[in-house]
Amino acid sequence: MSRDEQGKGGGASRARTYVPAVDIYQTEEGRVLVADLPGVSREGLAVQVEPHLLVISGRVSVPEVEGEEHLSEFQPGDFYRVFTLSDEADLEGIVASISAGVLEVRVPRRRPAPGRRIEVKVE
Amino acid sequence: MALLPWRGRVPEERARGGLQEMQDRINRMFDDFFHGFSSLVPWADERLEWLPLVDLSETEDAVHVTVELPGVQAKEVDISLTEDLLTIRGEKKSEKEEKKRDYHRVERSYGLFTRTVRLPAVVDADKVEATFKDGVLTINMPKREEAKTRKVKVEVK
Repeated sequence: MSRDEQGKGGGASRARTYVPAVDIYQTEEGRVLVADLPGVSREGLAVQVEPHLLVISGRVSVPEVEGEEHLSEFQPGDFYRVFTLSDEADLEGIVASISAGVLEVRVPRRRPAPGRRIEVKVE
Repeated sequence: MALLPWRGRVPEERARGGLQEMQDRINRMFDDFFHGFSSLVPWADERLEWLPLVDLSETEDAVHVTVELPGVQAKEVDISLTEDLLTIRGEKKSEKEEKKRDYHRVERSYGLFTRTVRLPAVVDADKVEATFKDGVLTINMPKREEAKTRKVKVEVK
């Protein structure tokens, strides 16, 4: 987990972990999760899926700040957030993509298995 | 009068507990209200929908500004420089206006934004470089020669 890791060279002192802002909306196929992860590229992104959990973590490479800081409204830092997935989530079908610092995760809903006729064996 | 929107970032150690979160939000609202010496708060423009976060630092030779603009297209950003005021404005559009979406949660900010920052030194407008990567805009502004700090020996008579 990014929180526990020691820094990346000299930038360690600036790295913090944030909870990213996320939008979630429903579509016919399931749910879509959109997260703002500024500064996170594909290499720094990890999306993990477990039976009922979706874990999003983004690593940000923090450039050393030279000189004097006048304004520092956002300390660059890593992102981490966990979501619970319902039983309806089709874990195999989860798709994630990131572009311009925005992550999109599509979680399709599991389709109900079609009814099957079960053969009854008679002893 | 538009209240400054919550920036949508919460340091993790304080992200537990609804009441604590509310306290943090109220604290931040007050911080936003009273803060901003080097940044002009655009009270006048009521159309503003969100304010991106800005870092400003200065070295001997240049002034650096970074702005967090996740999800904003480079072509939607307008950067202008007047004397020592840098203005970044644009619009963050919500992606793909599909059929009406059924939102469960909306935390991200959208819409028009403007930030105006007063630079600590006069910069050379011709040498300004701006790059946009992973939703972070970096503006590098070399200082004008006369603005670079030079040590001058002052004779005391």
